[in-house]
Amino acid sequence: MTEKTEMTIKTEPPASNDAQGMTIVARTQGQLVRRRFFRHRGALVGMILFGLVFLLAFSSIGFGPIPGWWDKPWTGSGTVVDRGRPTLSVIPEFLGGAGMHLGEHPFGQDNIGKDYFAMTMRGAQVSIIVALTIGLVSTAVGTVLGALAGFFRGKIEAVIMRFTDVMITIPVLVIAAVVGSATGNLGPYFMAIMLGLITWTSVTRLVRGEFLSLREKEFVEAARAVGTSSMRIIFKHILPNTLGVIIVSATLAISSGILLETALSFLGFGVKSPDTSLGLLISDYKNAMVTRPWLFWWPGLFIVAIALSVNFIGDGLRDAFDPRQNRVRD
Amino acid sequence: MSSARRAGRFLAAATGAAILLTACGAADNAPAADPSTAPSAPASGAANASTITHTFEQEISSYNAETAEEYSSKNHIVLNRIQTDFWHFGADGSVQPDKDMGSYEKTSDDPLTVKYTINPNAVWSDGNAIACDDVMLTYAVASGKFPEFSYISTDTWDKIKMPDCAIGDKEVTLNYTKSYGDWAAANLIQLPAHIVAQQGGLSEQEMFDAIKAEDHGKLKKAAEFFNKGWIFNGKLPDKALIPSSGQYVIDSYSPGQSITLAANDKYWGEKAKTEKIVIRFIAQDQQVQALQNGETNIIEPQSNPDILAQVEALQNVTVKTGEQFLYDHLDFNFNKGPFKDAKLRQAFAACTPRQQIVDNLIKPQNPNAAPMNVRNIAPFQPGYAEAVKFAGAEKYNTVDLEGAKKLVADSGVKTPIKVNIGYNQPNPRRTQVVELIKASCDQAGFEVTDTGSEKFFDDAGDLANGNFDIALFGWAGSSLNSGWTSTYYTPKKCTPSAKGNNKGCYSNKEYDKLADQILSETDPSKVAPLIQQVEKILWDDLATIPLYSQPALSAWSSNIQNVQPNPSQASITWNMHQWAAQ
Amino acid sequence: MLVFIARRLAISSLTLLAATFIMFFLVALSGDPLADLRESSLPDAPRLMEARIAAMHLDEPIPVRYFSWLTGIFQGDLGVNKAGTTVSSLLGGAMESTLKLVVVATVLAAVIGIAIGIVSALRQYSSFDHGITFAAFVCFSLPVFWVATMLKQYVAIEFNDWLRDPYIPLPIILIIALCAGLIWASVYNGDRKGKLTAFGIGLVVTAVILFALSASRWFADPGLGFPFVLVVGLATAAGVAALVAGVEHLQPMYAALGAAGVGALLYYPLQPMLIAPSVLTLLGLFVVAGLVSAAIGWQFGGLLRRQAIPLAVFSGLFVAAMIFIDRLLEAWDGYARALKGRPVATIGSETPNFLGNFWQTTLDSGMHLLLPTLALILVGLASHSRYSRASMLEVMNQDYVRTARAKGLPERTVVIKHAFRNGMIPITTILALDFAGVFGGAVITETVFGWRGMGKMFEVGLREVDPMPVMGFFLVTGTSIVVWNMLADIAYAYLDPRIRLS
Repeated sequence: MTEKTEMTIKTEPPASNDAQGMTIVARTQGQLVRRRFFRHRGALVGMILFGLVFLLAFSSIGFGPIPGWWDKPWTGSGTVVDRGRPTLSVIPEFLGGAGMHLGEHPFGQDNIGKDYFAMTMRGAQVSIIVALTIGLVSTAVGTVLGALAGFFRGKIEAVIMRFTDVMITIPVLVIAAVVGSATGNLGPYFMAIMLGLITWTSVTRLVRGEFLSLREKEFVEAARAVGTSSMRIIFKHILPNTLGVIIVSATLAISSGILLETALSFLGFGVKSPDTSLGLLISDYKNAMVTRPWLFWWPGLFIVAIALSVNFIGDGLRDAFDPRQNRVRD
Repeated sequence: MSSARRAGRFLAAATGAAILLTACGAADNAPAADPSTAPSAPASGAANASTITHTFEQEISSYNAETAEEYSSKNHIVLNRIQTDFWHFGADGSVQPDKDMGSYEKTSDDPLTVKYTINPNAVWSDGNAIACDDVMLTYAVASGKFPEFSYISTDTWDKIKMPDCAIGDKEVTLNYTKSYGDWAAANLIQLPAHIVAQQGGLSEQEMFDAIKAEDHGKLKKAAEFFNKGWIFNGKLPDKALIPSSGQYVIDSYSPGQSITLAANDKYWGEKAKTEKIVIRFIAQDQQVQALQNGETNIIEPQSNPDILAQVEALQNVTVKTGEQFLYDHLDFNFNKGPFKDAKLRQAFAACTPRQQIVDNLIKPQNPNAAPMNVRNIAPFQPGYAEAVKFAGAEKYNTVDLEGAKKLVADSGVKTPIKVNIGYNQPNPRRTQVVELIKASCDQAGFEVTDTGSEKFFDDAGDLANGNFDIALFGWAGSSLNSGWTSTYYTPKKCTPSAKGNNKGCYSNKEYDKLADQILSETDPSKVAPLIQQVEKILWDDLATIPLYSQPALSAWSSNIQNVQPNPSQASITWNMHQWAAQ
Repeated sequence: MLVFIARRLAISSLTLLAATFIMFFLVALSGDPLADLRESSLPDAPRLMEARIAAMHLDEPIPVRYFSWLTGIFQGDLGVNKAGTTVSSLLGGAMESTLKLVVVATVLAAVIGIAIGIVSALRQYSSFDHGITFAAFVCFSLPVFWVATMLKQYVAIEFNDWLRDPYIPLPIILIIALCAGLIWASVYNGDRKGKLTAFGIGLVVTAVILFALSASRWFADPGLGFPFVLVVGLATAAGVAALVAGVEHLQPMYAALGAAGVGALLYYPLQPMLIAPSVLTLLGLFVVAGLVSAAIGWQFGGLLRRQAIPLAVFSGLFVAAMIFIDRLLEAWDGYARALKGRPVATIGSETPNFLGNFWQTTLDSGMHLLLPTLALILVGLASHSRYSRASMLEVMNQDYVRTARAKGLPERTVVIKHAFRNGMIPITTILALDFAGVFGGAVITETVFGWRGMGKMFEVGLREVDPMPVMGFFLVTGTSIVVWNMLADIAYAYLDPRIRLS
């Protein structure tokens, strides 16, 4: 504890030092947040990891009309080589391994010879897009509802919050499964939007809470006194102050979105073949865990990597926006 | 100090009181045994040598599996040796007489007459004799003349006159109104008539008479019981209501978990080898691990390469792969689209890589698999090879791209010819079949599009509306010819409701005539040549292209003997009374 | 209080009602309930379709179907599923197994998670804290179904294989001991020398214990035994008393030790009663243990009775629980033999037709609960530990805690008396919210572990577009969520004196 405190004192000299000829650089809120975020080691690692996974998934097999650098398509079958074992090798030759190379099928092949690397990349693409969509849609809806409830109070609030209560009574996975089974065959993206439309409850509660406290603040009072319109107060004065909360909860919504998507696909209520997702791959090959473990492990590792990196980014953002938390006695 | 001393005294008193208390308790349980010699677990569960545990993914729901609502393998799989009849599906899926029940023989061909003799010792497990009254009940429910009874199919009994026997008779003669090829597979003894009568508020005689007199009013309550009274609804019906006519009786049932069958000590014929059979309800994808962990002894999961590899890796487990009656095929659309042209059908048949499809998709699960070359005889049935030879199916076994190109050119249709292949999704195997066909046939001048859809089988879906050039789906074959003849019969109109099973609206008058003959032919030796002719017509016309018989997989602990998979709907439990654990 | 509950109940029922409407609508719209019949090649399929349309009232608009379902509910009729089985009969068995799973998982996850969270908050920025934080994030990011599938393979099948010859190889012992040592060291709050000592002690103790367990084939025939119960009971009593009341207060310490000691001394005299107890006998014994302990606490407590009595009761019950577990473990050998040496189950919630004595059937249901609960706990554990850590940190930052410290109160008093209770306030809300999530998790774990519980019922119902079982499932889940929320509210009010229950 003591070490830490000393360090803090050194790096952040008290204001009185100003008089002793030291200059203090004024920083905007944004700069402060950025600085704090980039000092958060976990967040930084998470950011890099997520960036890598994202780049790998979208650059390798390409997306839509854009071609990628990986030559094998995720749909095409071929001859199964060596029971479809992965050819990826990471142990260099001087350590007794087969050398570091990707080989023909780095993640192996499935039973009709599809390249499993390409399939995993496609699964990662779909899962990432679905998760981002769920996160964005639910945050947008949640923010609007929460802002309306928190700002206008009265009947609007009562209606919105009662509705939120109703939605909370239904376990997320349950209602998501129902929605997924209804919309899964309309394509993963439409399903993601629909899932976003039912998972906004926690954001709504958070944003409403923030609005409730901010609307009583002096600066809002002042804005109102000079006749600013409600919309302007909401968007120009209050919303920017709740940005931190919203961004953090959006990140969390994305990380729970990816787990939700994979769980639904696993149960058969999410993404449907012939498209694929990480959850669907695990579901398809869960029986292969012992016999062809690579079919089970790769998509699982990608799920964990994506969810973990997003979670760390969220943690970093929270610390950056709200330095009070996680600090004690300093 | 004093407080500590006081506390010490209290402690002693408390301990004493507590010991006294437990001593009193113990006295009730005298003789107090040493815990280490306390009775150990009675041999039970999957552990018992005289218990064999089988697995099915769905839970039994009714003792009466003959109603339209309950006709399902989840019930049949349990009831196979609880309700027995004069015949059953044998190990090769053919119709085999069940000699324990009695004997039957055809006594006349025109009119078709069959005489049944019930074993004089045959009784339900509650002691009530199996006799004519039970046949009469089957007549009532299965003839369609008593619509208050729900019954799966009136196909056989609507051609049979009311049996003319007295209530306790052990001899019954069935007179057919029309010649019928599958007479040997008529159901006679299905459900206990005495129970239906009793629950219908009638005496056995009263019900018997009511059926003879076609007194619908009197039978109303009995029919209600027949339709609903045997449904489990989360608990076993009263045991008095569910007697057995086979080697096993239902012993106990644990909802959501398992059902236990016990040997029927009243059975008069070949006795059950194992005292108890437990059928656990376990989802398909968990069955292998359950087998591996000793939680079940026999599994019959849907085959896929991983499950197969997994069971093959297990020790002390016997694995058997094989074929089923179920086969996948391509149906051409004769009503619209390119395949009205016979040349294009031939071209498509020539470019379809049937061997490659089997090699890539089926062989990994059944090493002996080969392309299915006729439609209505399964590869494991007698007469298959002869029919294949007669029909001349071999020429389509290898891909002939040059021939296909030439046929396409001969047809004069401009290439590429767009071909939509429809099937139900999700179905990974069929998706892969379409991929393989596309890779080959696109080279011959076709342009194959995968139009698989989740709504393929819907009322307004692609199959019903004829919205396909080629449909890819499965048919369940059977050793009974009445099962398939309607499939290629000329439809009255090519509408969703009128075309029935003939999805592509194929038509050939010669076929229609042969089909009628097959249906009414009672001599099996005469049926075989007819089927060969049918197959030749179907190949010449290219009504459909059969692809492969779906692979079957079963696995069981090696210490269990006499387990025999069965390709028919009877399933592996068809001879459960012969299963024996060592 | 009663008014509060009544009002809360009224609002909750209305909420639940609205939710049932939404659910019913969505399920009815989620697909085609006739799909299976359309593919059927049965000659009778059209008739079957008509029968199903009539049975499920598919010809009526959805709101009409909803209201007839609703009227049914008020008459105690939950409807029938597609196959004609009544939903109430389906629910009967399913409800019991699922609620058992969900409650056990929630309680365990909460207790362990909160404990971990508090420790990591108190040791903020220690390597323990960093480790826990990282582990929590990993757990957060694990798909339940993925973990569950692995548990089945490694904890059930391979553990069972290992049990045939339960010998722990030396390298494994060393690795586990090393990890244990590191954990000990990271929890220890002090200088480097102290940390090293803690590491050494942790390492040696763990290694010795594991070695002894392995050498004595403990896993083949486990048990605790009298010495263990006595020593651990006394040590725990002393530890808890020191933590809560402080070493300097002797009366609570004596009370706790006394209760634990009396309990442990009863180990042998109790054995005859425990051969084949009924549930009632056991409950009775627990109550007696509690009462006797309370009396001991009252007797010893002196001026500090308010602390001594709960401490004594805790110690007494702790020892009672150990004796219970000891007896349970004694049944292990017979149970394992009955299952051919494969006690860890992968499927279902019971062994069919298992006819053991009380201990064996308890073990049987415990072994079936083990894996699904583990899978569910893992995720719950992470979120509880994170939330309780954050909440504790928040509280430790408050002025009143600073004041308490400034007054010179010992750290123990500050944490236990001032911070802990206030830190728990926000956690009750989280617990209530998470409960719904556990039900969702149960749907997945039941699928993986082949439980025919409510989750399975929901899944099958939804797959077949069969609203009745889905609604039956939702009625139970929704009600338990509402009830749980209400309990959380009451707990909240109890913990937070600013809230009045009226």
